[in-house]
Amino acid sequence: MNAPETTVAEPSRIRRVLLAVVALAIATLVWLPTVHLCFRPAPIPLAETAPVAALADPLAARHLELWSRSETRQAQIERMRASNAEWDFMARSFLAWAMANMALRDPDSQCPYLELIDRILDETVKLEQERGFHHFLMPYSRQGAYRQQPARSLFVDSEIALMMGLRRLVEEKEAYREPLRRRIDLLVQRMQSGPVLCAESYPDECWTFDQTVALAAIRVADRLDGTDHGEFFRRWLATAREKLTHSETGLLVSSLTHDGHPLDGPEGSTLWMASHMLQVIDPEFARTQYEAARRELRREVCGFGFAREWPASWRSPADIDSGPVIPLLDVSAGSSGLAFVGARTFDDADYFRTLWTTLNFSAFPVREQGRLRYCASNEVGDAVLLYAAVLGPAWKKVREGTSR
Amino acid sequence: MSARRSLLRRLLVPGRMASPGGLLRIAAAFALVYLVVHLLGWRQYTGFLSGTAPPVGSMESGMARGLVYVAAYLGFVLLVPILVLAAAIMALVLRALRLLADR
Repeated sequence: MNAPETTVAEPSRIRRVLLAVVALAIATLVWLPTVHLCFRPAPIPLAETAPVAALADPLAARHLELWSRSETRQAQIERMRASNAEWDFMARSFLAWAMANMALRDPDSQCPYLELIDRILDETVKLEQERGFHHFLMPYSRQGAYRQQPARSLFVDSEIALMMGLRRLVEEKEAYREPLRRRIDLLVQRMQSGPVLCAESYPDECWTFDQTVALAAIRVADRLDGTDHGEFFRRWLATAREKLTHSETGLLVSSLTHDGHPLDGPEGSTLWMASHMLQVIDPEFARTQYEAARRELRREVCGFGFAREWPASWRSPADIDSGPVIPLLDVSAGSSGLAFVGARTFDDADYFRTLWTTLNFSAFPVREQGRLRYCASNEVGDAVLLYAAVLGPAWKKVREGTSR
Repeated sequence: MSARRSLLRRLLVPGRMASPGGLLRIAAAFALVYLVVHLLGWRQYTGFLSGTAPPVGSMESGMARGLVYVAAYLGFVLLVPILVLAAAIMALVLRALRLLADR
């Protein structure tokens, strides 16, 4: 039997298959490095007081609308609480902090922002009083004994204190003056009484994320009320450098026991936020932490930026903080989301832009009537992004000491 | 049955796929799948990526829909352009070969 006749013009089936494979390989080599251009936002000038408007305005519109429709918001809260009650709380905190920054930047239109902060605060404090701080924690908060008694969670106390402080930083509200003073006293007293100046968020668990939020809240209160916790800040930083730092990377560990034994090593979901909060405590130390985190955790593949949860020298199983971790690339949803906050704080426009490119590609944005939400995210994720887009004015005011 | 087999043959046999038209048909199939799941509104189920419960239904069914949507989206965004580019490259090469043979 003769083989089918082929000519140069009509290649055999095998040659056509080979040609297709080569064409597919060339197309892949062309497309993969360029696909990010379809998702890349315009260059972003990250001036301290300018919002990233393209992200901030539609996200803020979505949150304002959500808080005006209690049924829709309740459904969103239940979805989050089904996975993690902390998200319900953190969505409130990040949104209130974002609203404070928006109000500071644009005093002429601060009224709806202040109203929303007050609503968030009043509802959150009411829930805390009625159901206890455990309402905003994961169930294991009830499964052990807090070392410090009476039991409280620094996670809840520090974020509420910072909400109150930033609200007063925008415009004084007498109703929050005394509650803030009481909560700050508690934060300081409980942190100071710990062997490494850290207080628990969960039974015998101190989280660096929460310690740094507490420090920032104390700093804001100092500006508002003329107190001075400078000596406490210096002692905390000295302790952190000596006892709370991962030796291989120089990064802060993310959690420790009340006695100061590290439970986890450095984690992106903590470090980006901690460096942001520490900016009002010790800008130089904060920048050092950010740059070390960037060196250890930042990744970029084909123009898409993301963040790992752990440095190469320390690993842990994925958990609720890291979010799902994509194997091989080591992309962590939790770390990548909070990396926006770090990048914005330290004017890292290049990293911010590549992160945003990844967000546009992989978080499934939905734009409706000037509002924006990300389907792959949730209310807390969107609130973190909003905060990253607008942060700056509050810390500037705290540093300059220009509170009213 | 035979019509279905014939369609599968046309879509899957390497010799049939290895043509600009074949590559474009595969690209169209990926695009169609994405269009369908997008119109079904399955984008909202991608919240499983952040560990968030689905807006309606059980966690398992929400996750399954979300996974299908993500796969269809990646097929549309990554594979469809590659297939279209490859079809264009192949068509150009085949045309160049024909021109050479005509000389």
